[in-house]
Amino acid sequence: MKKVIVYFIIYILGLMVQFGWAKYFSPYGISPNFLLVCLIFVGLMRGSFEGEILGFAWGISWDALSTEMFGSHAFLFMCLGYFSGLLYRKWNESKIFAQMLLAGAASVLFIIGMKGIYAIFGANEYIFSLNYITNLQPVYNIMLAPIVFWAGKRLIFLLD
Amino acid sequence: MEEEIVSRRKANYAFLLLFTINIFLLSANLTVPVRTIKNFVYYVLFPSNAAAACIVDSVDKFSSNIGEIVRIHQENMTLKQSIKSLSYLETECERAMEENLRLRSLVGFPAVKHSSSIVAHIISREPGSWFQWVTIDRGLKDGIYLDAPVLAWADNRPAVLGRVEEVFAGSAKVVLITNVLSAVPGEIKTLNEDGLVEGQNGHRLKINYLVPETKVKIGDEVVTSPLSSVFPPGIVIGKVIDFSPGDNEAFHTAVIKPAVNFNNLREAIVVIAEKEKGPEGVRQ
Repeated sequence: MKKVIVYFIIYILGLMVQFGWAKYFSPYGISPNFLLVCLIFVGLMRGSFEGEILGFAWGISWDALSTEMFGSHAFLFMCLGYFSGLLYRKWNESKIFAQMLLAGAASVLFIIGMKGIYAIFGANEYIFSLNYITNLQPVYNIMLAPIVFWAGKRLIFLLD
Repeated sequence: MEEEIVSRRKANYAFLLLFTINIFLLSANLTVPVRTIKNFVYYVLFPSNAAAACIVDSVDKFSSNIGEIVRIHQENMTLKQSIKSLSYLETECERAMEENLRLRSLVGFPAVKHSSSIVAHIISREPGSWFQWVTIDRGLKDGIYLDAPVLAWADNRPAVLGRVEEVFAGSAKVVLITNVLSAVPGEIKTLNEDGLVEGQNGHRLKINYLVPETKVKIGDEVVTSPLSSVFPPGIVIGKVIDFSPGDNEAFHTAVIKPAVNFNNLREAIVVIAEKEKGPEGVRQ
């Protein structure tokens, strides 16, 4: 029960940071995908099940709060949560380089996945265009990863 | 070891289940059942979003209120002077409007549509979709309707911000003019030439369909055209900052810098069209 409550708090806090506060550290709209980095962290530290459930919850919330294609974020976040969980106990997440590499790879895969989903399911109603914001987001995520991992490791004890 | 296998199996089953749900959501995109799910999730989540905005607002307000008191006092004195000089103009304007209504009814022109406005706070803006959409804290119960025009204050005058895309009881989503899906009929103010202003998902717009003979130049102001079915005519959109006509093109395109500063959005003005005021509204 305690675990569920803690995950619920993480879920709400994540949404608040991404949708309420991220604009305050997004110069010229160049912004981090905070939820994606957190998701990679949760997957790596807790495994696939937690990663995919939290990913789906954050993704479906993102889709509901935005005007973007419903289900697109839910699908990609769920997959990224699951696949990052496959690296649970197989990846040395304490190395900063490893954290940055994984966050960068996940960000690039996210953009490619988004482009693919819009191409398959978007018809003419939805357009996912690449611009300087989407192109620079992986760089921002890479820089954010060590901070999220550092803070996350100090909070993760709440789940144990 | 056994525990790990069970855990892996649980994760795989959950993955298959969620994968199926997602494929359903994507395939049946925004059909009635999916829209119901979307609206339900939005209603559940909206309070957390509003709470985040509220926390930021209260911290912002505390620090800015002190400076504001001094500034407002000075502004108040200036405005009192302005009111005196404007009261005469207001009487003149009312008289001209009555005369206009009377003359329009005489020649059989359609009556002028009157509108009111509602100021809303921008409570949510996802940085990854910075130039695409925002959420405001006013909705159906405040009289906001689908496709209502939304303006923002820029250089002491209203400027085009976007239009209402989705509306809920206490909030609404606004598609910004910079969204790639947004297209507004615009007019080069100095030339009275119409074109179509389109978003680029960035901090610039473009105006298309300018005739090859156009004399548009850098610095020309672009306003909403009377052809627009959403926006009232004459609302500023931005200024032309780049125009390089090609030789063999049927139509030309110019780049526009929006009047609204999209990195400093706090409030929005939603224009609410009221019922048409016919000749019976004319005072005799």
